[in-house]
Amino acid sequence: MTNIVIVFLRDLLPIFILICYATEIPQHFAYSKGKWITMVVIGVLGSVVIWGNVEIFVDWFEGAGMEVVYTLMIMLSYLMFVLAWLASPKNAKALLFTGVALFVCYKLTEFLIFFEVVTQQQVGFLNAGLGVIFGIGICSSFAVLFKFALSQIGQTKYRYFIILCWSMFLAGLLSQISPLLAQVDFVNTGVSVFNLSDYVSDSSEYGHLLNALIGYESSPDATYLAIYSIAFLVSLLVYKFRRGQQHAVISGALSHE
Amino acid sequence: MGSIKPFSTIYSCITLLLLTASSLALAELKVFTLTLENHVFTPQEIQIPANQKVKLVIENKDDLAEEFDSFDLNRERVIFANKKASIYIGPLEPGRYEFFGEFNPHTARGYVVVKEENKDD
Repeated sequence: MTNIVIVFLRDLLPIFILICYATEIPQHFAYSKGKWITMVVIGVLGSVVIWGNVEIFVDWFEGAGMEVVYTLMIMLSYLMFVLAWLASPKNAKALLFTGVALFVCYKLTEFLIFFEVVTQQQVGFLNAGLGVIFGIGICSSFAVLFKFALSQIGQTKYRYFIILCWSMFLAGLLSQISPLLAQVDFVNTGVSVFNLSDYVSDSSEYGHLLNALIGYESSPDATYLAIYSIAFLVSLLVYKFRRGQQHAVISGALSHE
Repeated sequence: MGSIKPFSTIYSCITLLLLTASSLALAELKVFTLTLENHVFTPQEIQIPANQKVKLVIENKDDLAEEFDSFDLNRERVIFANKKASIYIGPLEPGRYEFFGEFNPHTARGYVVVKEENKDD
């Protein structure tokens, strides 16, 4: 059961966190509840399709099929979220719609594979049921607290901190492609640059929580750090560029008056 | 007819070079095998050389899927029932790196022990 809770933290907590950000960055995620439900439902359907055909995908690219599929979903999802800052409101909605659906699809596929096996085991069903209750409880409790914290920060002059956290969340998402591609030998990674596992290990609850929030890795390699840094900076710079454009438009309008 | 197409020649050369390079890289790569049966990894400890990338082939002989998971190695991969999967690990510093089966973490556990290779070996 503990294992199911951990898997909830790993696979489903990021979806809850995404929803928290979405409701606290309204200029970026200007959606009605109906649209949100549609986005999540499309993501769920996508993950069910991949999960149903997972053994076919696995055999692609000489056994690296799932890693390639996951990498594509992660990269596209990141691109959609970042490019949405630059797009017109109509296009931004389409980009975000796709980004959220891909994100949900990626996270839920991993969870469904795990859940299928657990429920097939002899003593698994009761444990799985209890694990789901605890998992949903922990994720939703955390989401409520996190949303409260974000909304409080959003009312202060430190609102920019939310964008920093959002950029770290996106950087954590994109840097997940590094171990995925390294394990199928598509990229080379070196030895760990540093090791923080004595403070917060990846296997601990805090490790999982920080991983879901900001993509924490206790012993990252240079490739992971490079992808993380670039993804973080690109997300911030794109936001700053968009802010600059908005200020220019406002200043221009005021000077005409 | 019969003329040499420059693009296809260049493409063939590049493909040949890439294939040669990858086969040379594979030739140097050490391969280690793990078997999963009754939700237990055999052997439960494998020794690999330090600072080298190696290939780990995992064969799942069970009728249920298992996920090879390791926080220490930063790897996780599902191995479907009665199938094999490969994972590349390293280069790693000397030490003990734990791995486990995510779906059966109490029984499916093991270690990758990384040791400096003796030059006399």
